[in-house]
Amino acid sequence: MSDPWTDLEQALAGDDPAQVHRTTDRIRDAVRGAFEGRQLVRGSLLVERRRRLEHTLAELDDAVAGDRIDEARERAEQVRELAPALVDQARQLDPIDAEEEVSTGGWLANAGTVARKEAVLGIQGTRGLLLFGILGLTFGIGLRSAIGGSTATGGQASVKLVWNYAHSLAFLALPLAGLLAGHGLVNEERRSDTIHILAAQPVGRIGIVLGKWLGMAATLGLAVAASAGLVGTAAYAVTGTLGPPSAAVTYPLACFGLALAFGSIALLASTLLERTGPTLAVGLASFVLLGPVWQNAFLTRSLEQAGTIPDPGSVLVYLATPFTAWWNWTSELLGPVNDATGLPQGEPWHAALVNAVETGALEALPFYATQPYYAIVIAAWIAVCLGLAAAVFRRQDLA
Amino acid sequence: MGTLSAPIEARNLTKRYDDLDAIRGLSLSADEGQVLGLLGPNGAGKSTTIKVLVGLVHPTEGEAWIGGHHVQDEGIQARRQLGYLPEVVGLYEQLTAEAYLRYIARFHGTSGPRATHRIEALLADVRLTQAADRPIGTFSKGMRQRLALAGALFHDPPVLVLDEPLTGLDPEGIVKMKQAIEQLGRQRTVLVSSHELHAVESLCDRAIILRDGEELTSAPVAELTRRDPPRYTLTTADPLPEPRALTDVDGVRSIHASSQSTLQVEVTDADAASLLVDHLVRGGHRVRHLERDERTLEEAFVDITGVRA
Repeated sequence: MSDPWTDLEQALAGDDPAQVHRTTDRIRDAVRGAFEGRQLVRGSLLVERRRRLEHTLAELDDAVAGDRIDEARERAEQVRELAPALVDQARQLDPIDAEEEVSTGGWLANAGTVARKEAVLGIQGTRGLLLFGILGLTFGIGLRSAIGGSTATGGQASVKLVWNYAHSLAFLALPLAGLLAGHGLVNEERRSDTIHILAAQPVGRIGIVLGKWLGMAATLGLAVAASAGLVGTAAYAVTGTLGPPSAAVTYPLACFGLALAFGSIALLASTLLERTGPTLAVGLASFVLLGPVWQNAFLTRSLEQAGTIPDPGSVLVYLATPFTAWWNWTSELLGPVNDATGLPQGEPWHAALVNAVETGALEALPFYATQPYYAIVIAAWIAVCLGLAAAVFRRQDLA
Repeated sequence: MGTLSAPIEARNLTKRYDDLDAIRGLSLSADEGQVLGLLGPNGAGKSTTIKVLVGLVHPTEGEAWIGGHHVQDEGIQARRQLGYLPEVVGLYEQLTAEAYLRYIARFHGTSGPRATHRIEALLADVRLTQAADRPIGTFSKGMRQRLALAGALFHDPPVLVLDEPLTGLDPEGIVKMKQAIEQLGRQRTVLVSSHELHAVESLCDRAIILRDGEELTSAPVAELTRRDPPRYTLTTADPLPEPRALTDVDGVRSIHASSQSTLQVEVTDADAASLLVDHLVRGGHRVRHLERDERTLEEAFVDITGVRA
């Protein structure tokens, strides 16, 4: 049987529109058959050529139906040129392995591609080492504190003080880890001109920002899990304990949330600022501004009061305190509960929780002193930063 | 029945930075299988135009389409049909060439053995098979350029946009890149920008010449390089005693004799050149060679603008 496109001329000469339609349908079938089970990349040359052929076939049918014979001959000529080459090329494509997972290459999947690259590059090199170092230090201090430091009593009060101080340093380290992971995500791509090729991929600006954030989250998550696992295993091997059971989950989770919040601030700064140095500076400034812990723990109060919350006086304090309180909540979980009741003055927020737990009057606990509240506020901070970063980056010219 | 749109189309593009118009009211269109040159001196607006088409820069006014997809409103669909080689090739230094192409492959929904198969073929095409496992940070400029081209071609796009692809390459690199563009242009629509007009002259079917963000002219290259009025180089077997006297022949506007047997003749049209040959033959001279002189694109640019490119 001859190829259908070779019959086109004869069909046209026969002055029978039905015959021409049958022939164009045979061409369509031949093309469909050639493409069946073949791997195609959306938007590729072959896909476009197929689209063009189908369009030309439709025009040919249309011209025949309208008795526009010159136009029909012209279209038939185009079909004879396009179809055999297309069928030939399609047959050369790799067949699809039905069992192989085929990604759609959609924007969300492509955001995942960006995330994957960010995560891989994020844990490599100096930055990755620093990240692991910071988080390892944090967990080392935290676990040491959980195991011994904060349980020290009486004559060992100075030991307790040292470990509380170490806690506060670790608190500084966590936002640093976030800033380190997020500070060059966008502007570093601009500086190295890699942004041009990235932004020319079928991913979209929002996909790029989302992918970068996901990559950073994956990097931080991996670093937190690895550091916590390593330090926890070592501590357990030496002492046979990891402190209160809840600490093993809550503590790393709190670290992750805190680092991710500051990483998101750094991501936003990296879309707004051209250079990475100022981005880091902005991140640090945010940390200082948002961390009333400094005012609370270092500047105006004693280290012993690091676990207290400032009197709720303003919205700003409520917005900012989660960073502090989230940390303090988990750090207190590491120590025996009766330690919290021994705190001197003021009304430590966790004391309210302890009382509530002891008396069974959980409803008495103010919402702002509950863990979900802090989780929600941290999530809100992340969402706002991510949303702003996407909105800013979407409008930017990548000249 | 809707019509198929041009692979590349732009209407009335303007990009304004503060008080500066990087491009002003630019419209262009490239057909399937056409190599369109975007030519002009540095600062003419070539890169800005390309960045608008690729979706990197938002136009202040005007619209652009790639493969019929609006670049701003359907950016992802438009970029699926596009391969882009930027002027400054930024690649991830830590990645190997193979890992970079695998990264690009994922953007087009390809992974595993299928990606490997395509990556191997592309690396061979751009002569980087031996360097597949080397970090990109160790690559020369030419190698980076070739790798970026492989990345741009991964998904076999119908539209290829190349921004100054020859800049910074060594002579061998230029030759190879020109061969590659020529080959690619046979199958797909290629938009190539360059300030080195002579280098891309032979590649382009059509050229748009820009200056200060505005289109000076847009025409097939053959038309741009054609001299008007026509000029011929005429060689005779024997010396001509009085070449200047030939200006008396109808249609001959001027004569420049490089030697007594080689003349550059400017005529009103092609018929006048035939008349001149007849005149010489009747005068007993043997005409060995008559060739129409074409100007280079660079000369065309100078003629059009009065400024050297």
